[in-house]
Amino acid sequence: MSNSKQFCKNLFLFLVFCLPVYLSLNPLSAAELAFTQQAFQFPAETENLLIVDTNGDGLQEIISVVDDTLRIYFQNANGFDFDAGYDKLQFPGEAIGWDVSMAYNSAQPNSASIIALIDGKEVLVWRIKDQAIQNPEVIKTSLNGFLTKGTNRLHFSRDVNGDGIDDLIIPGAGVLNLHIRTSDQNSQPEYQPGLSVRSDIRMRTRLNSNQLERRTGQSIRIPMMNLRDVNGDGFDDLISRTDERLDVFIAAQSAERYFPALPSYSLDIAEIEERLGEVDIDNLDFSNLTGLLSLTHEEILEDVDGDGIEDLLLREGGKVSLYGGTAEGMNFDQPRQVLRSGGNVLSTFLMDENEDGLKDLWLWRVEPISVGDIFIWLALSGSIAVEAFIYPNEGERFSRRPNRKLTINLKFPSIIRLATSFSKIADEVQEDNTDTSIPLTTARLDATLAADDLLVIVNNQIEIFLNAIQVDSDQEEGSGEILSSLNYSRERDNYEINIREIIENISINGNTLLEQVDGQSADITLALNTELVVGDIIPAQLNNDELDDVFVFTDTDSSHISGILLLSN
Amino acid sequence: MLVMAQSNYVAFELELEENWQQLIMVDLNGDGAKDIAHSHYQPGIGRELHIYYQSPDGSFDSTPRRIEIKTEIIAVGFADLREEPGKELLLFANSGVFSLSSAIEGYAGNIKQLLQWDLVATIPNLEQVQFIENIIDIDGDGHIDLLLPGDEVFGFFKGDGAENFELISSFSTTNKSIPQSQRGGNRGGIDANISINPEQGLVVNLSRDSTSPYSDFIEQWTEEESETRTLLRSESWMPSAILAQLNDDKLLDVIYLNVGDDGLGQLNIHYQNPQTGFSETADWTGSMETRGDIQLADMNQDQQVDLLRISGNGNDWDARFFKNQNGKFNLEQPDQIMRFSGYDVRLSFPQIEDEGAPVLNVSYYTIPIVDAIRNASINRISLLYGSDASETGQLFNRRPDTRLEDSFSAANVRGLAEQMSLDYDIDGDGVKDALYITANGTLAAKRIDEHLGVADQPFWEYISARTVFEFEVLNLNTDQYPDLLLKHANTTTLLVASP
Repeated sequence: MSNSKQFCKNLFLFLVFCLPVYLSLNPLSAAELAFTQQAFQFPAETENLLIVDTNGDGLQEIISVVDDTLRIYFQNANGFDFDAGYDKLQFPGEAIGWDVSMAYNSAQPNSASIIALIDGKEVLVWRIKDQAIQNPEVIKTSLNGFLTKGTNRLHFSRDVNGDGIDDLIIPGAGVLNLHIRTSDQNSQPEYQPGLSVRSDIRMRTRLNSNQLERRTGQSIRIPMMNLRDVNGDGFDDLISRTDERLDVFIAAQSAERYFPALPSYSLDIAEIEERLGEVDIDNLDFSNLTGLLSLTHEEILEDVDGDGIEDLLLREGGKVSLYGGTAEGMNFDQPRQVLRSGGNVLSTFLMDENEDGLKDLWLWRVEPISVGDIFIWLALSGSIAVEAFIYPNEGERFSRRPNRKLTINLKFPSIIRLATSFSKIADEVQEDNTDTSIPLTTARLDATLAADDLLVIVNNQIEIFLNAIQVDSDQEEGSGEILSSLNYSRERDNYEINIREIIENISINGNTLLEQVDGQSADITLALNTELVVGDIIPAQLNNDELDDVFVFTDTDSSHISGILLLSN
Repeated sequence: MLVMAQSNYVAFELELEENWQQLIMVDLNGDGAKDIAHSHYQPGIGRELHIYYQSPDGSFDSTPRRIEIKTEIIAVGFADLREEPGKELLLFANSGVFSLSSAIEGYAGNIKQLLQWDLVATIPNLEQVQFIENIIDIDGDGHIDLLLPGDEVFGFFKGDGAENFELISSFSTTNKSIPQSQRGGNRGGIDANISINPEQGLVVNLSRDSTSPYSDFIEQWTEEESETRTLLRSESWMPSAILAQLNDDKLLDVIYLNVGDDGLGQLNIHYQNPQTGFSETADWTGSMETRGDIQLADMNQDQQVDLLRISGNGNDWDARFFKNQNGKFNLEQPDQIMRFSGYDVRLSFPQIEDEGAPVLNVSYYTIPIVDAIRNASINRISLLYGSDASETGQLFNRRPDTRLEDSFSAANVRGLAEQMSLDYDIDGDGVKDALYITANGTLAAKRIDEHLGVADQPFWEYISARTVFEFEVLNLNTDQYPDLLLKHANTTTLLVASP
């Protein structure tokens, strides 16, 4: 397209989109909030937008990727120019994993660079200066990576050893290859020899289907490496857990290699499973199906003796072995303690019960359940007793006998009733589609931290309810959360979970957010001059006022995603 | 000719690390007897295809022939492509398809590239071989053809019988006139939010998932979040193109379901043209409700595939039947609607007799509440509907011709392992039999009479040493005697009839 034609097109787009929006979005109320409004259009193939500051000016840019081309829409004091105010780069190669990182532009602190793994073989970084993407620099070559074709986000650049410099995690064939950078940010990149660690890659592939509703293709999920300090030396160690093995690599900050080439210690999970055996239905005891729990196992790495080093609690059926962790690894010569429990051991966890600062062992057992019980529960309500035996921590090991037993009686209605209740609830939720189709969001548009603001698009206008939504406080997590649900106290040993009551109290949210402003009038109303075809409203922090700005999506067609950006003033 | 059900079999027990993995029965050496092929993985060695060849007496080799599957291979199929007897392996890599004979050791001088094609899947599962089945002659010229999922399109490759394949046409099953964010057909699932507080204990809040195409559209980057994220998450999916005979030209056509311009489900059909393959755009489309389970089946035995939609939940289910009208469907008006009360409702359309009238088989479970304390049980209901008294325009009789009810309790729970099957003719008399797993975990068969009545007593039973959980009747050689595959908890038994 010639420049004059492009100019005319841009002018037309401005007149069609920006001008009417500017004219129509003047607040209709007397509220003091003010926005700069800008119409935007992104290519329809855009999968998502990434908001990040790429040039260190405190103003966030918008990054979009379509096919193999990445665009950065730069922000300046006047906001964005969505027609021409962007620079773009085209990734080389066919399989691209890209990310942003703050670690590659020491000349311009707090600015994100674009980093990409190309065809699994080399890593390139593109720095951004002012409003231009610079030529790429090769960071690392001759890699043995494995990537899916196309352009995907790959979170592969991160500081593994805590030295403030990003290292590289390269996905390989069934493994992750870790490359620790030895040179600082200002020097030519140099890396330690790669460490290959098995990875629990989750993959789903379907290439031929004879069912209409099934799709053909592939999905891949590679989990991030598990890095945490297990030996208390202040440096993150590497824990690799797959179905077959638990490998722990202890970090050595001063050594030539941050992680050893071989695991500091390992647990052969496949061997444990082989030893425990597998389900033999022909010899299954139908009078005690829960007996199958004897085939289960757990591996828990936590600090038991309070020395800051994680120990290993290994449960195999009803046998619990405690191995002591050392600064260099794990003492597998002899377990520090072996406890054996009869009955059907369901699980174990570690939590301080007697408030002495040491984690105690909670061993959970479940009563025998027979096939006959299950048949009865099909039609009649029932209950299952679950017991927790607490073995207090005596410092080096746990007490040989539990000093407390909790009983939780799990009561439930018949399976028919359960199925009917869930089916009714699902119907009600599906039918209740009135409120959920209303575009709305919470955001922080003013300086009040205690409450969020609610933005709703109704009748082609944005209604803003200031400070209408209370901010949730953080809840407890993990085993503590389970106990708090029981209203747990040290003085009480018997508890009950009644599934029927939980079902009866299930609340179906048409939309709890809307319910919170029911009957209230909006504090601010902004009229949208554009008809909402496929609409939504999403907050993001774009300028440097620490208040949310708002994307209002109005339409999506085969060529563009269109909307209006409200930039807080 | 009446052939009695067998009592003599040559049994082969296969013990695999993953017993429930896919077994491929394929004649690889061209002796007319099907061999067993399965995926095998061993750390340090990698993936292999293990093949147990069948001997003329119906036994199988005790040790498998092992074929290395190189790391570039994403999937394996089987087809007769070379002059030598037996089927060859088709190896699907991310950018091409190759043939390999199992009769020749190794890849050197053996592997041959058949075509170049960017497959939709680009990463192999390095512990498991994916199999592609039903590699067939699509255009009816007697040579194997390929319909391959690629980079956003399906490609139709015609084979000439001499390991040459030509790309004839390609088409996309994705509706590209709607934005990418809407192509997944987001129907809005249910979002459960479990919260805990000391006053109320566990509190469950349910709401519909957002149906907005923008729900994950914007990401605000933070260093902390970036460090805890999944390293890579990648998805590449498109609606499956299914080969089926849809009109009266005897050629296989393509049918698929995607999202229409209106955001609703859309059924698409590409009719096969003998010269040009499949057109780029669908020859026929129809908007359809996609709630429930949609199946293709030839319900009226006219050799054209019809459409069935089962919807409902709990124990109330509707089945809507849409007859194929020579490659078109009236999706606004089902030809028949039937309602069933029970759990796990399944429909099948067995051809009980060769050239016989269409039959509908419905099976489901009910749970009697009365008397549950004295005798807790679950009932399995099997209904057989004929078509001789069906109303004009409808497919099946309004009322079932046969109703079978089996009661299961703790004492005979093994019989619940699988539903009764009417798909197999175990005695080879030309009439399908009712095969089922007994309370003792054995396999038995009852006869079905001309009025669709099922006999009270079995006429045949195979008593195996191990409990049977799944079964399949196969033809593993060229004789007319049915062979069997029995799945146990940890092993699989193949029974080759030995008259």
